[in-house]
Amino acid sequence: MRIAVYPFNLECMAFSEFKDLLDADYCLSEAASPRCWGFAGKDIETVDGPEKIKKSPKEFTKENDILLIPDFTIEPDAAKSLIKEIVSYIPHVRKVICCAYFIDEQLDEIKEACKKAGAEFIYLLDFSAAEEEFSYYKTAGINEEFAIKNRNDKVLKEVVEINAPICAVSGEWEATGKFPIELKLLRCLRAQGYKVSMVGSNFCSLFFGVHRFPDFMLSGAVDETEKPYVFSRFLSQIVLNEAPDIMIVGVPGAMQRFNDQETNRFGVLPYITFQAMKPDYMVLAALYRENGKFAIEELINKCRYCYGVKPDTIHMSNEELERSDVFVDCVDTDHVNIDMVNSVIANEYADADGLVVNFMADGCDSIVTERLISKLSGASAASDQ
Amino acid sequence: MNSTPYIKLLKTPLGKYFYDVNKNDVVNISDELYEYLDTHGRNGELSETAAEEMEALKNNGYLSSHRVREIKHHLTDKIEDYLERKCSKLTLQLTQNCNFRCSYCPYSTAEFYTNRSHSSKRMSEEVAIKAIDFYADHSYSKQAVMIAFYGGEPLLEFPLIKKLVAYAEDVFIGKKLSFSITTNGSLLTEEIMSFFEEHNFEAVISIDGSKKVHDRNRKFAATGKGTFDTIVNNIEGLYDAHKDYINNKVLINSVMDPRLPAQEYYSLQDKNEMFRNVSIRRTIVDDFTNTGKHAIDDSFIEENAILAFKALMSMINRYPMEKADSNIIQDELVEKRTADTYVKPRKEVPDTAAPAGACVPGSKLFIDVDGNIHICEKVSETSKAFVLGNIYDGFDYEQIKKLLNIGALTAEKCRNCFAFSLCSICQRFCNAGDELSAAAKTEYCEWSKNYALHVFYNKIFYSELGGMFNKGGEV
Repeated sequence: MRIAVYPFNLECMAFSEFKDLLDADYCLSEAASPRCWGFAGKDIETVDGPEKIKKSPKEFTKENDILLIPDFTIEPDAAKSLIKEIVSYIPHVRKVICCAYFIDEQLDEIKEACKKAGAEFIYLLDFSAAEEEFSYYKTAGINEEFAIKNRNDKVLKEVVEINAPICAVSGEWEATGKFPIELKLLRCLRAQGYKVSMVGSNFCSLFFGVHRFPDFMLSGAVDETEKPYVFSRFLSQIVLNEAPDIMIVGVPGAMQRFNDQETNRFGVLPYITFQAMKPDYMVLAALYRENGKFAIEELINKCRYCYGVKPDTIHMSNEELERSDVFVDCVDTDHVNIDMVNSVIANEYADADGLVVNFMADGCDSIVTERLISKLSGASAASDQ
Repeated sequence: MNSTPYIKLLKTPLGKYFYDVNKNDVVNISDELYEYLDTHGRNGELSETAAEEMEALKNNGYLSSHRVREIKHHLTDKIEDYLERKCSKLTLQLTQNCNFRCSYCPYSTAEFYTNRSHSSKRMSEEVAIKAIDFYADHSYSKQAVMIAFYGGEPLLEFPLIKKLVAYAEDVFIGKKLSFSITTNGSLLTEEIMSFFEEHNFEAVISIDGSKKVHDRNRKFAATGKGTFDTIVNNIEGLYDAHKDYINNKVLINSVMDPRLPAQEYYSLQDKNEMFRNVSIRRTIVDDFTNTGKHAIDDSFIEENAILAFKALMSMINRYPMEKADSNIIQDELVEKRTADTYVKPRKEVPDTAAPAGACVPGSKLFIDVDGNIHICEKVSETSKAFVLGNIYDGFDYEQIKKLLNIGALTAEKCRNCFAFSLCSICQRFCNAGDELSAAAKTEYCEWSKNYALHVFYNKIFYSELGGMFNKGGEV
């Protein structure tokens, strides 16, 4: 199915950069993005070869099956003008998949347009089936009769062992590049002949033939304290069904609260996720920092205290917290030039024995993959003895 | 190397304190420790208790002698990336023409300024459209964007404003777009007010205070007559149809001339019920506050202090709230917020940093009628020092880096100054013809230090009063 994306944003770069990993059912056909978002006019790889990102869906010229509205957060006032553009294109597709948050009134406008046009509407932020999904995985892998007998028994409140090595990819902050890291690792591991299962941190995972982070983990209707048990069963089921050599688990959300106003949801989701698994390898996507020694110590401690694991690789993104006039970090981020990131890694983090990398630099994915394989081989060799 | 603690001692009738520049925090200390720090220990050893007090402070990073090693703004090497996506506001000088001649206006043949003048030059539609495009291409990371219309008197160009608003609404899809206009209010009509309301305009209208003080400084260019009645009649005529809009989105800008009685500037709301719910921002003519070139009357200072005192008393139920000026109450709450925001503990001053005060040149784009980019509307567009490039060729990053680092003009003074993190000296104070000047900048140092002290003492004042103000005035 041919996908047209609007409004194209950074999250969607995966469709272009990892075109080879897209599920056989899907291909990127066209993309548009408002001029003031900074993507219009840039090159992307589509199924028909390289193309420019357009400014408006009105400029779409091909026949497309799906309109994908990617994941982004926007104030309702700002969304008004976008909705007009989106609605104008709905009559041209058979299906609309929406990953963005809109207020009810605006969502209804999109649904209404779909209804009129006879297009199917799929809203990936609709977690109404989460409880059902939760119930299913709660007893997954447990003999049904045993489960019924022991419904309230301790066995349902145990984190189960996952019989495959896990590589977790987590982020210190939003937009630090978790999903591209997950896909790069997937590509490198597959290229070496490994069978890889993956749970992606991004809604777009479903287009790449990998598992999406389950709805019940994101739903408020499910008891938080039960999520780790059930998530471990979810992972365990994947291993049972797919028998992978390794599993990549992308963990959505940011690590910690920033201050009383900007809480990053207190890092609850990643915390719960790490209660369900003990990763064998951990990649942390972090904010840009210049002070090498201090930064590594800080990040390692954060990981230890929040998740109980030490990062094996720290990806230094080009996102930096903005600083106020009084040298206190602000919640807003600045983009740092990639050359500066590379130079800081080479100079400030030279003593870190390859712990800190720029995953987006050429060849870095292969180096990290080697480290990952080497660590896991060491671990399995040790356990064989 | 300066080995003395990087602090400023402070005292009030209720206590002794120091502001620690590294920690950016105000600390209450014992009389004995205060005396010791004040005399640099020349009067003898500390008692055991005071010595423990000092030791505890040092263990927590206070009283350190650490100073900035290099005066350099942290964005200096990243400025290209920053301005590529973070411009926050566009101000368009639609015209240099105005139907007023105000005595304190930098464009008029002024009593206070001589560096700019009114002319009939106006911005073409082509330049304005190009400026909006430039802004759109340099604000990718901003969810909220604002376009301001400025003059001269921008309403002389209302047909152009309508075209530009339509264009901007088309360009800024998926952003929270708002507009603002600074107008003298003499040309307001029903059509214009409805347009403002429909397009989310914030309108700043200049009315100084009573008719007496307003007409003293704000006169029609053609007749030389006062303008107060025209503006107030305009607003009165539109008030019933646009009451909510005027109460919520119109700001009255009052420029106070300290040679005139302060009370006259606070009487607008008493005499005109219509202005009771409108926000009023009062400022004093720049030259009076910053340089001391023009002396402020003691009576003006006293009258203002009494009004502020009444506002504070009303906030703790010691004076009837309805008798206090609501805008002064708001000002006091802003002062408290400022103290809380800027005096905020941190680890220490970084090794490389620049004093506060200078804004990031280019983050707010002021585009003149010819398409040149200036640092803001407050600087003289005749000075080459503040030209940041133009909308056709882009930014001049070398000039921007110079302007970003005005701290380097007076590096040695700045790195030892207690007001380092609360400095108020921005680029426009460094103006000497077409150059940036250390001497010009230094003229404002005392004013800036006094402002920093004002903030520290506010912090202490609210702390000494305990939680009385913490409910935002609702005691």
